[in-house]
Amino acid sequence: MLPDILSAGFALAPVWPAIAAIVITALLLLPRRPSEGVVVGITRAAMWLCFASALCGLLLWFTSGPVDYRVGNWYAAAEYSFPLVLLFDGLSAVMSVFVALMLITTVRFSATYMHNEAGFVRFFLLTLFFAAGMQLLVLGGSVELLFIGWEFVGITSVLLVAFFHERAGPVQAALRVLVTYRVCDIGLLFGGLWLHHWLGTTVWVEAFAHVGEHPGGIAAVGVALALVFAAMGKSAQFPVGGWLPRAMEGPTASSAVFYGSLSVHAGVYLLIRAAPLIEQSLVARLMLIVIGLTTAVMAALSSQVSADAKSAVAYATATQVGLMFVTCGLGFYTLATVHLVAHATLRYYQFLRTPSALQDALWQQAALGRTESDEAAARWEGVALLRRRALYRLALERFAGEAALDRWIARPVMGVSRYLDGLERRFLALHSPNGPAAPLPTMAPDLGLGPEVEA
Amino acid sequence: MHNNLLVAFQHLPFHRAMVEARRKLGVRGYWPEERYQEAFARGRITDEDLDAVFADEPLSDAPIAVNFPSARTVGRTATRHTIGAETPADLHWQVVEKAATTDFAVGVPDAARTAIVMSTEDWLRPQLAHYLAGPTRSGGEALARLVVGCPPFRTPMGELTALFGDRLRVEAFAERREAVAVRALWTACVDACAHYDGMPVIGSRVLWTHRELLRACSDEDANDPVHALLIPLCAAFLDRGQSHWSMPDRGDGFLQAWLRVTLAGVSIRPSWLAGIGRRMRGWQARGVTAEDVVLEVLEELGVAPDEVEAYVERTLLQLPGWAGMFYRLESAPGPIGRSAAKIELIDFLAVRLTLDLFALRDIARRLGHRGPAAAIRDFCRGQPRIAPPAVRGPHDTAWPLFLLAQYTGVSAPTIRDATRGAIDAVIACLDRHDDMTRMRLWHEAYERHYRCELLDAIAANLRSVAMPKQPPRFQVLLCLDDRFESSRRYLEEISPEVETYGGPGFFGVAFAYQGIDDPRTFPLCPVIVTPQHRIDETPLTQQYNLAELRKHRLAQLGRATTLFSRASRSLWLGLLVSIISGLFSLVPLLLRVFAPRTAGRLSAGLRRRFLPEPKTRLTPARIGAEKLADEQLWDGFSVDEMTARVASLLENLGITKRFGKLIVALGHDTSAVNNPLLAAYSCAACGGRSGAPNARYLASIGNRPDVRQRLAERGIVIPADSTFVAGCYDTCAERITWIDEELLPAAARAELRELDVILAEMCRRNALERSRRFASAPRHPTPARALRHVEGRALDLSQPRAELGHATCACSIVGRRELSYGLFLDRRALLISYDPTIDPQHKILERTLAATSPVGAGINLDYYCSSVDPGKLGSRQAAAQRDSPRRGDERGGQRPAYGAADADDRAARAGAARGGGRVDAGGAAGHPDPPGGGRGAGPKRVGAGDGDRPGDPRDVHVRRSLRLPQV
Repeated sequence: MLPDILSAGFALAPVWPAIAAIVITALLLLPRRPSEGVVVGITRAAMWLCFASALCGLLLWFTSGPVDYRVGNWYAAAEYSFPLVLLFDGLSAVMSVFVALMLITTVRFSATYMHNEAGFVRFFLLTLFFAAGMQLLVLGGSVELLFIGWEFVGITSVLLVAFFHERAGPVQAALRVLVTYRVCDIGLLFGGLWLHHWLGTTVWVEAFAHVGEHPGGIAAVGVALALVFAAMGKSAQFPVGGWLPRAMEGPTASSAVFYGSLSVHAGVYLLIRAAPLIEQSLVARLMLIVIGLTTAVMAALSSQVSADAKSAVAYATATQVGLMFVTCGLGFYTLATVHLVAHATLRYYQFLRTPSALQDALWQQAALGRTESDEAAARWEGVALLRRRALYRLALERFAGEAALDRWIARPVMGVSRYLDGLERRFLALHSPNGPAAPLPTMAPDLGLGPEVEA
Repeated sequence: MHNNLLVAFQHLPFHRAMVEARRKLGVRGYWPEERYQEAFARGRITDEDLDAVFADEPLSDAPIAVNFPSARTVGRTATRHTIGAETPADLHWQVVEKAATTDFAVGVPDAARTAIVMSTEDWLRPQLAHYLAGPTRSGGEALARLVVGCPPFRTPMGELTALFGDRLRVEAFAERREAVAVRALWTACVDACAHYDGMPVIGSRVLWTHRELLRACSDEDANDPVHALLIPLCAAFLDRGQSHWSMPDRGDGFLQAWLRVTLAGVSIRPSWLAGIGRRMRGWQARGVTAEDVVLEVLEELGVAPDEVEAYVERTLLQLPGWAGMFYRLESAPGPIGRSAAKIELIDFLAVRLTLDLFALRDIARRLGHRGPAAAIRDFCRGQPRIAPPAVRGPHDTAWPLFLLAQYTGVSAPTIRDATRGAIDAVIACLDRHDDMTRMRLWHEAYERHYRCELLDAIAANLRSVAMPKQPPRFQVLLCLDDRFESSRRYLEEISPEVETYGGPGFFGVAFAYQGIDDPRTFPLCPVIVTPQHRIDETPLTQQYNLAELRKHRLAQLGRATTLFSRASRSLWLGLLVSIISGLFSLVPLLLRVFAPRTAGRLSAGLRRRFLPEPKTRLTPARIGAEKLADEQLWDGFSVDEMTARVASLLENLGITKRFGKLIVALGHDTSAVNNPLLAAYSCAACGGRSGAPNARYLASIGNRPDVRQRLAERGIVIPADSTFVAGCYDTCAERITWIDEELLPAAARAELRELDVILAEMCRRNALERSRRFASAPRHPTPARALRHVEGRALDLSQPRAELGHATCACSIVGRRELSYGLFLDRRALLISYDPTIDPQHKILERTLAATSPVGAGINLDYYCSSVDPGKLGSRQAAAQRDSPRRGDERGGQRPAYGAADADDRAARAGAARGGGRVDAGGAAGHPDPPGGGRGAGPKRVGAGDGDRPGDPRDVHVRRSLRLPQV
């Protein structure tokens, strides 16, 4: 009896924020916009209910251990069914509680922090959708459900990076995040498909049970690599990690909860969740170690040279997430879990405190009796000058990852499409009586200065 | 005005400067017109204000032409109804979607409507009747053209018939005459403006730099790739210790560091920089200077010698923040400019121009340009533009004329009868009232309204004011800060025994100060003053060990936090630190977010326990006359200098005859957390730092018998039982702490206890008054609850606007307290005490104004600018209004990073003074109740609950009534 109630309670964790988001959306349809107080009130209630649900999960785990909770099928066709299945175990219970706690804190923080901001309601709406997605991602008992949560997390991230969409910078950054996410999501989708093809199921529990029976071969390697690829994008690993420092364009509170704390660790969570599958492939584990280490070293160096507080913390985050990849690759999943939760908390706090960077620097300067403000940065002076310059250049240019992508992928692709566009235009011109048409007028270029006379 | 782009225009009168700044920098110096229109709609600007402003304009009252209004009326109508140039898209929208050519515009007065309709009818009816009597094809065509012109999709006759409701009859005229009159007017205006077709648009930009021309041809902006590369470089080069690893070679200047660093080792260059390596190596081998590089690149770009200056200016203004930073750090004196880097603007220019060159060449090459960079501009002039250059047409020229005619009752026949000269004169008059002019006029009306209200209130107050007759027992000296307007009001209201004074918060004692925790001296005086004296805080001899312990512990703490922040960003140590401290950081995180007051109390308690506070004294009186060798400062004040300072302060404030038992100097400071612009909330007269040391020094010298004796010789006799007391007033948490209380005589201490009660009540009431503007404050709080709220605010991590600073500061009143005693000024006035009765020569007035007006003007302009154009003139608050201080995000912006932002408080304050520009105001819901309404003595209120100056946000409304207890 009790386990049933607890299970039902736990299963509601993703539901509360979703309901709240729908309620707020409905309120937006009314002629009068809902007040800040109403929005915050609804959000807060949903988050506390979500927290209570997550506590049910913790209790469930203490009393009755892992539960494979089945709600039924969304639909079933001849060979395939889409099971609505949640996996309640220690990992999901702990993560669920942690996610709920971080989000309650975010709501409390943002209620005052975002006050009078033009996108106040939008911010809370996106946070609620994110909460629903994150809980679903954590609790999902099959790859499909996890994927749905994964996509919610992704799309809300993109929209929050572009929160200040009246400026070009945030929108460009958001586009970058979107492209990275979409490309890497292919990994998760592909992994799920292949898993189904290989083992006949995508439900975690069943897959873990069957994985020993079927010798892996190419399928095992493929599924593991696909999942690793998906995790790389979400967790900003080399070479697709260039979006992380750019994602800092969003409001501080969302930077903290997404890129300090929850979203950026979702990739690691996927690795821990799918551990039995990934362990099947030595190649995938070696790849995890290599990618993780590369990211960690590069991001650590980039963090050293960062002159602004937020991206320094962002790089530091990428460093530790890289180390989590390494620990996963080595098979220390418990360590990775502990590291994940602890690190997420620390970065969250550090992000929230970034506006204090100047005061902290002044205080430290005074406490250490320094009279010059830049005395602190004198570390690395011991390295030989030539090597120091070379290393510094790499760190400052973020190891040229973006330049390489731009040069060898973005530009050729753009070049080809421009060429095709030109061909098409010339082809069409053959059919038009007036000869080649001028390119369609786009918006008049805004020269940034408004009207003015210049002699 | 300091540290924003307008600093280059400060020699000009305000409105001229705004026009110039708009031309050069593209900043908007006023609110957008809609804001003024809103203000007009809600009565904040009235017709009388506009009339008064236009009465002062040098405009003619004679009609411009026969049957046309005067230039003054044209100007006033254009301003009142925002009549001006429209974009083609907007015009299309108005005509096609909003039926602007058949309906009268909103707000056209009835008299004008009637006049237009009647005279059009008188003009058209005979022609129509004549046509209907004997319809001819050409006659109908001519008549239709007169009313509807050349419609796009119908014949003129068809359009006219449609306008009449499908039957062309005289009777139909009666029903449709308004539509016909408006359409005929529009057609007449368009016909009258036909000769403007093809003329260049007034104020349109001539594109002439490479970037502008290329952008007009390709829609690619050379700034995009350049800035993505340049901004991180600048941030790294100028960094003041935020990064853990500073740029190598930065002691040799930006250009050299850039050359050396980006040529070292291997990396991948973006494709647009192809070939830059060879160029840079060549420069390095030749050992070129920045000037050489600049000249070489300019020549390569084909910039002619006579346009070099304009080109360089335009180039530097692409990133005004960073270029300004280089310039300021290059030229700033003292600790602000001191850096391990050799900072010169010319270096920045050299690097910038080089990157520009490559980006421009890359874009031009992709457009098909094969020649040298110098030919890029000629190449672009031959290319088709994405948007053709704007020229005037009959419709857009006719639009303002059409609106003007409607509002002033000018009808179609009048326009048709007017000569071309008359039309040109009207159009020219409208052109003169472009948006800058209209905004200026609106703004003057806006300011006039507040000015009149304020002066009326003061005049009325003067007639009825009743100052207490009894001699004062407590004389409280406060900063002239607008935040103390309410403090002073409440003090006087609570007790008639309190007399208050306001003056610059450094209390006339300007010095460079080093407290026991400070690493060096900081000037505690207004930015325009250079201190001549040095004052140190030194621990008492018997507490020397305690001071050493404090220093030691502080250093330990500093080392620990530095190590922690380093470790948390490093690789392997980071692993350890994040696992261990991560779990523990949950406790402070949750505490500080959910229970800020408890967290604040806990951390303050820990701090007190860990860091002992030794008793200290300030530098004693100086005997000798020589300056300190290294700093060119005198070590403390001599007794004569002390006397002069105290005498001058007392004379300035007008305290020369009556003295209370306590003369209390309250320096002020602020205590918010998580706010990078903290210094902006502190004492502006003390360089953005606490004014407490100044108050303390004043009290210590004011109590010296030798000073008192010399004061008496100068005619200022301070009785022996009057005591100077110093305190520190925390404006954010509404808390007052006393300094050196143990040095006071027992009698004074007893008096102080009684004053404590009054001050505590004042703080509570102040908190209540402030709370009505805080959305997160409880509804209808008791004063004690309000005080708890503001205390919590000061400790709240999530609170970007712990207090509102000078956001509503609007005026300054120099004079005796009688002028404003009991008057509710809503914390919007700088109150400066001055007694004209002891100053027949106006000497004191002169020096008071010289000392205080730059401070007040600086504060107001900072807030004004960040309010009218937050994107370009604001602090980072603004992209925000936005870009608020909270946005720790520096990426991609044109503004320097915190880390790079100067660590020195004075610079930070100056750059940041706009920190509070955004007001945490309660919603504009409901009618603002007069805040003073509940009180017995009924102080009058002035413009309360209103944004009276663009410097404060529109919605500074009083959220709810303020109920104050009677005392």
